[in-house]
Amino acid sequence: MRRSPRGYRRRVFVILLALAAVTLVAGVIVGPVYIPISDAFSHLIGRGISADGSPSVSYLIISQIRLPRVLLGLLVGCALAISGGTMQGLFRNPLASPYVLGIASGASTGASLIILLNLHGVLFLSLGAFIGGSLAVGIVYQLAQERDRKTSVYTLILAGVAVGALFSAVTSFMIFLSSGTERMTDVIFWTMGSLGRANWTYLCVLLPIVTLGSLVLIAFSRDLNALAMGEEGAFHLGINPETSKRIMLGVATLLTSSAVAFAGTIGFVGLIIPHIMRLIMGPDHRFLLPTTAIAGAIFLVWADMAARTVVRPAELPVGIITAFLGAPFFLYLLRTRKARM
Amino acid sequence: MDITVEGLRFSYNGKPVLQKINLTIQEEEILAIVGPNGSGKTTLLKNISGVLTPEEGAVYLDMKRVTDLSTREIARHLTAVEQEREVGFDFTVREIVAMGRIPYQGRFARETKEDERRIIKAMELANVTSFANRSIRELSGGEKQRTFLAMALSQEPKVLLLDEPTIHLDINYQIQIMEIVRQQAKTGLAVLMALHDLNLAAQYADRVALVHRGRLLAIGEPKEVLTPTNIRRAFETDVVVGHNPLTNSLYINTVPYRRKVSTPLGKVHVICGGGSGVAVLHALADRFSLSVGVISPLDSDFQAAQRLGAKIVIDAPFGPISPKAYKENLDTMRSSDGVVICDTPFGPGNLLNLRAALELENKVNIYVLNPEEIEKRDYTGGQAAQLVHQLVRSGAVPISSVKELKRCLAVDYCSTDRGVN
Repeated sequence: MRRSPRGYRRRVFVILLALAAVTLVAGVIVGPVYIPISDAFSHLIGRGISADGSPSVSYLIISQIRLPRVLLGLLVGCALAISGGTMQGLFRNPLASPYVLGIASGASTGASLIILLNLHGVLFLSLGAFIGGSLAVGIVYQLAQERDRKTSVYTLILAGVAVGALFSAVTSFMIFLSSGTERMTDVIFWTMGSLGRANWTYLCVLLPIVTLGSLVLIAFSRDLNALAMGEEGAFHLGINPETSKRIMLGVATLLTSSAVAFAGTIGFVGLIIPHIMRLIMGPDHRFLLPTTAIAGAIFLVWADMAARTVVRPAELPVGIITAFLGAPFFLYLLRTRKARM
Repeated sequence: MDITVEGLRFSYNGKPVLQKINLTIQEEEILAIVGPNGSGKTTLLKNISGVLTPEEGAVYLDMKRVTDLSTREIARHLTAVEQEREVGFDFTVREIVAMGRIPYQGRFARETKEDERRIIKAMELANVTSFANRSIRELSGGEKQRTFLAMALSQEPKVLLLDEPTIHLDINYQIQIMEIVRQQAKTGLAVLMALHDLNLAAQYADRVALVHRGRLLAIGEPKEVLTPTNIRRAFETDVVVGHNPLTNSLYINTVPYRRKVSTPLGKVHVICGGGSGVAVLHALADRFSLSVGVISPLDSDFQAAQRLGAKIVIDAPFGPISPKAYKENLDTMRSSDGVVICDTPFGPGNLLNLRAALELENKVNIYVLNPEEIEKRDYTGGQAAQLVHQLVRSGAVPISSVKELKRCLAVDYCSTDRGVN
């Protein structure tokens, strides 16, 4: 598929933004309790307070449960997809993703530890996740680099899988230690992934991180293009490959860890979405990263809607839905695009 | 813009790779670095381009040290295409050429009119416009290399470094690449390229630097540097260096190592000229001790005879054979075990060689190649033909091919050997 430039790209952008708006509304309307569309709209713009001054039930459902949840879905989906797209670009390999490289496992170990230590507060949670994620990616990167100065992609991915398994084992061990306590359920939450704990405090922390982080990554998308020529090729284009790689890897780790801190480990978003968007937009990261971010946000909210509704009134962890959709698609890609990988 | 390399030293893991390198590259000049595999050509390029930092010494871009410049500043003056570059995703040719503008663009900048003009021009110069919208992954080696060249040109460099730009390419693509580079050098670009093909270096480079084990063995014009002696020191291979009249450049051919037979089967004298003796001389050289005559030093057979170590009876060109040379030639023939008369064109200048053969009066075996075709190469009005027919009538052996000649001689002289033993 060859894309024609500007007009085509602009159209994709517009369609994605429209879809995002539709998604926001749909996410607020869909749910176990029926709320008429007209009410949902008026609640969204802040109307819904009853005559006696107390908020109506439907207003509370919208403003305290559904809207935060949809917004968290948008932010987490965006963070996972854009960091996935960045890592695929950094390692010039469509197999790279925050999960393959062990970042998500590291972050969930960090977050679980914070919960077990009973350190309350969202900042601790995100800090713990970030430290865990950075530790994992740091180990993986060092391992891959010492074997071969060029950071061989295969070593990187193998190391990522191994380090990810190690961190998962640590998390499982912590679950085992805390068995029977209330905290166990909290920790299990990280291993499944869910948007169910969304609240406005989470959003206040996550919004600036995801917005700023995404902007930094988009600012470095030019560097990613240059890095597609190899590290020396990038150097000859005036890009310092080591600096660019460190910054992008750091920001992608921060985004992934924050997403994990608030929503647990949700797989495949960071792997599949960049891949699909590359098929639609082409490999130029200046256009690929922004569209990937929007598409990831849309995808995760719809996956969450499915999670909330398929086994109504119960609820599935959204990670199960993304894996159900993502894994077969990934296998399909692996089969049809084998020559490219 | 000039490049100056001063006292450069570099090592990998304590093992010295480059030592005491001094050189300069000027505008409008192509400097080729040649040398055997592992001699340090690529490492030298990487030190100059700033990818590697010299341990000692420095590389100057005009008056500034390359290591003092930012990566972006370097990229606005100097660029390089490294060996066998692989592109990570399936970018189109146009997208790749456009990346050459990165050193001039801000992070969020869009392509300006100026960028677009440069990109289009670079694509035209490197002749990639016709496949601008194809994916880099669908291209042949030559098309890829031209795309990278176009990308480098859209960067408007003053200095261009190329590491083996013609490796793995068919000859037509090799020439395309070199012609594009030469064209750019004419418009002011300074080009430094590592080449493993000495003939391409001889043909396209203004100067050549010969690197051997990390040191500069020689630097200068191709004819000063690419001498058999220098090449033997660097490559441990014997070559002949000649002058190619078609391109007015040197050509270098390897000469395979010949095993000298300790005891030749016999002495053979070859009458040839105008290239007719080359095949015969090469066929016989490993088993016989050879002599050739009378021949002028301008004759192409002269070079072959000299190369193969044959005894040569020389005379001045463009005139009939002098009595002195005639005498010497006759003596040489008399002391031989056999005389071969090649299918040489005969004219007034060399007719006397046939007379001499006739004077042997069959005391020496005479072999004549394709005597029935003598009329076609007789430029003496029938005299040469007459002499050849006379020789055959009096017992000279007619031979139809070099292969047959070899077989005949081997049989004749092996049996004599056996008879003696």
